[in-house]
Amino acid sequence: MKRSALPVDNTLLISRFQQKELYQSAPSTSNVSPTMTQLASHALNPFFDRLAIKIGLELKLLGSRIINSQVSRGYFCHDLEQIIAENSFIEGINSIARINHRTPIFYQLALISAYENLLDYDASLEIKQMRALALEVARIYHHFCVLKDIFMSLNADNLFDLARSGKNLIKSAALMLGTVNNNTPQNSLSTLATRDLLEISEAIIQIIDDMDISSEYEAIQGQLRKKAIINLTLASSLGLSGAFIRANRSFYDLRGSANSSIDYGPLPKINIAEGGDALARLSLRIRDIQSSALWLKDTLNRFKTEGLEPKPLREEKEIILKNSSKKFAFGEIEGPEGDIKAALFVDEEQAITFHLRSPAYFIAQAIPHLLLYLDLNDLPVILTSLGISAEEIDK
Amino acid sequence: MFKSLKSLLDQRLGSLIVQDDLALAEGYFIKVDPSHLNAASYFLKHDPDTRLTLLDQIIVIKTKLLPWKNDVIDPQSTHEIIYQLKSLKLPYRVNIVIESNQGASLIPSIASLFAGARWLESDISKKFKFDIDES
Repeated sequence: MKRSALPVDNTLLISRFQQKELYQSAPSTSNVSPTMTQLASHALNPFFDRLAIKIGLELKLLGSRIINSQVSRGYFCHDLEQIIAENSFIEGINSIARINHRTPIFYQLALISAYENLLDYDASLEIKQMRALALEVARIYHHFCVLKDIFMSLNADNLFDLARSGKNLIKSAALMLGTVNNNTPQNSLSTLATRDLLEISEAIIQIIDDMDISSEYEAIQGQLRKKAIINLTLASSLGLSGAFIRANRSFYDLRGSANSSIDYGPLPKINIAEGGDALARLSLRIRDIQSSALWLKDTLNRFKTEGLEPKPLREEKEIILKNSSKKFAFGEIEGPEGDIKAALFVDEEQAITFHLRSPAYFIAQAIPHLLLYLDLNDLPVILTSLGISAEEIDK
Repeated sequence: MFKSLKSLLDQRLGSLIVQDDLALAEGYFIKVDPSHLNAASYFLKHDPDTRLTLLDQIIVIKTKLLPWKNDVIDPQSTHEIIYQLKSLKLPYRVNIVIESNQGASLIPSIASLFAGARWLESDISKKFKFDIDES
């Protein structure tokens, strides 16, 4: 895509946390392709320093019971939106990756989808299929990373080892996908990659089976059951989506919605649970890994049957924004923690404003609800179950 | 499903609530007067035909970006605030839009209906100098 020379509108940008200095101090973006040929670099090995924005947590205790809590800071701010609006398309894709150091591909594809919708650009079916593949690989990776943290905080050594093995396996799958590029000889690496990816999918399914029958899994459930409960009404009112909704028997999942930029073919199974507690959300993570791995296996088998191969996520067509008559567009992705949405608006002076919906923003806002009446000893595991690692907490 | 969100609201809440509407691929857009924001939000959240229970996002944009049929209602308005709501069961999304005048408008809060709106409104208030009416 061609760099847009549109002027920037600085007046419409909202600052959520006023942490501009963090973005200014972060290193400048690299030259990684926005089309994500280097999937591994994008999805798993960040080319940027993570944005170390911490949550300031203030707790009020009655004995060891949390009776009130306040979140004084959050994950990201709208200053990033300003940076993205000021940047060219390519720089924007790199900038947005800084929100999630583990799996930036979710945010990147939300922005790419918004751009494509704005430009009425229709990517090829192969690209759309590869995006779905990459998203599910990244989803598995994200969930294994969180599971690893949860199991570590619960001192569940065997489960931790299983989660770590799963994480390393899916990382190797992503590396393999990432090495598929336009210079890869046909029928060599691609065929090898398909076969190896199939084996990795099967190994991940086996890891989940091992987790399910592990005696440790049975033992840890009591530490999560009936804790940090968020019912469906409160979850949706708080803007929480993903597992928060599906842990209350709702099938809401953006993967089931029409998306012009991603093609799943047959969808992965959408899992639900009940109870709305930390245990339900943990079990959903595990089931989601299983469903995504099964979907990967089926999709790769379909590729084999139909003579398809993993393709590079590269598609170069020259598009200029002024050719588009659209004034706004949205791009939505079902991220591993909830809905991610990128919104683009173009005003009469052709200035772009960019708005981002991040699940982390709503989760951070919901923390006081999640921690209410929780025992202080349960705090680490509950926070890790929300995908928040210890280093992200200030106090 | 309903034929037109405007006609549904007109039937249930009276014809003075919705000032303008748009049906686009990106969703339904209805413009309401700020004083009717809470009534419209409450209705859309609780009515069994809509059940727009999920707060998606609150976005502030300049006026004249959305292709309204009736153009700007209040000539003094500088911005439009878009409240994006979703249904967890039905495949559509609705955007409630109010006009506002930067530095002069009192914006009603929907935080009593959507708890997730609190931070969003606070951010908007800080950035655009809108006063949020939480009464």
